[in-house]
Amino acid sequence: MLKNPPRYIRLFYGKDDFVNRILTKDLIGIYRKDKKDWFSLLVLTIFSGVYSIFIINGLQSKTSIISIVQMDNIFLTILMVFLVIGNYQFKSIIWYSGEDRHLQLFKKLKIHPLRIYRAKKRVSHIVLLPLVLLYGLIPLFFLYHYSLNGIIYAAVRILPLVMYASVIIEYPLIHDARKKIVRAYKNHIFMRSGDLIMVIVLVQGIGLSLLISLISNQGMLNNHHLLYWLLFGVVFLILAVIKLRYFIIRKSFKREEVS
Amino acid sequence: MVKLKDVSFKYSNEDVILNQTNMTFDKGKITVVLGKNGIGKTTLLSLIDGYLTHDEGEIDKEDEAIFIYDNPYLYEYLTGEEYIELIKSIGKRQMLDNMDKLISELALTSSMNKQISAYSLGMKHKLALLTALSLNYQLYLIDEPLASLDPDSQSFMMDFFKKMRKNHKTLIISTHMLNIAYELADDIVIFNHKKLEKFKNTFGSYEDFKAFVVGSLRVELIE
Repeated sequence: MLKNPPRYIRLFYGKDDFVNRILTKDLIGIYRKDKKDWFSLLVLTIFSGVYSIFIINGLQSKTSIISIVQMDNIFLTILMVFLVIGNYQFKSIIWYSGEDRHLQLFKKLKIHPLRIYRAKKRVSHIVLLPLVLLYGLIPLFFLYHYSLNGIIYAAVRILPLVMYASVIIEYPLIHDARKKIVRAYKNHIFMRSGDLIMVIVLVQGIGLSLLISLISNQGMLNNHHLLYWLLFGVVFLILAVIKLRYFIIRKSFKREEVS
Repeated sequence: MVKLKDVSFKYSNEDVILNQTNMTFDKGKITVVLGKNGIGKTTLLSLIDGYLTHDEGEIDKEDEAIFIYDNPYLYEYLTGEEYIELIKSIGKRQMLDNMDKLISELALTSSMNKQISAYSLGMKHKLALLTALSLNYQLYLIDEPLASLDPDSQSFMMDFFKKMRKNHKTLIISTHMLNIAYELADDIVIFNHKKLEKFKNTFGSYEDFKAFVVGSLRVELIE
């Protein structure tokens, strides 16, 4: 598409196809147009990083795994809220509807909506990569301080955590695309960033914290780590169900009439 | 050719745009749609384009259309050259082979390396038109194409539309500008009271044309 795309964009290149052309265009757009938004994302990432170090240091003194889980849950709630803020900040470029009237042009050019969606999903993941990477790097702090409980916990939490981040990133993207692609579909609930943040804070920040406190106070976890793994498994299962739901919605883009 | 058969469309029960309307837009001609503000000219073009779906009736098109909006939506952070390259690479259609000449004729050569965000509305219109032309469609739906252009560009664009007609392209243009309608149109379509009425542009003078249109619509139009 471009004679000499910037090197940082070529880092994310695959073959020269529609998805990569849209990706290039969007990354150039963010680079050239939305420098203020980049700055906000940078601040969010730095703030998340500082906060992570603070939390990890706090965890070093904890010997029981339940204390780590409790603190980490609060920490993750805040990071996920940052992720939502970052996602909505770039919505004019990274969401499906950001293509505006070009969607009609793409329809004429026989570009399937699913390919447009894939391009937007990829760009959203790249843009929010710094925040997601942070979650992956955090376990390294445990290694540095050598906290055995921390290392075990960090090792098993990576997969559901990445799944969780991807669920949060994709939620507004897929519903935004669905609104545009499926003419009959209306989605007035949870499309505002405030709604989504509220759900995360209520369900994860308050609900899950209370549940962990409750079973912790009952002494149920002290000698029964099985219960902790059960809780972990339930969260994992919920995420898997949501991912499956997204998969089904994406498949429906192939069938539905494009508006 | 575009044929509307008993077409009805409404946004809501109070906002009916077309009611059992019939109309034929001939191939290889310039048809200008005139009507007062808010009557539904853009909606009509959107229905022909397929962007909106009519409630009743049929719309038959021999050729697929491309819509050039009055307020073009372009990727403002790309340069004009990058934008055209992007659309061409996605389009995979048989492109025009005289693009450089066209860019030069549209006086866009020196602007092609600038970001679109720095373009005036007139330049954006030209770029949108250029992009549409580069995709080489047969049927062009053009909403208020000349309102934002300076007189020189208006004159150039009118000549250009006439050249397109010579090349057997079909143009359906909506405008408020009577002088442009008079100069360009083979057929005039008056959009009034949720109906369309077509007239051949065989008026002896511009004054006759103006009197007829203003009388038909009983509205003020821009000259």
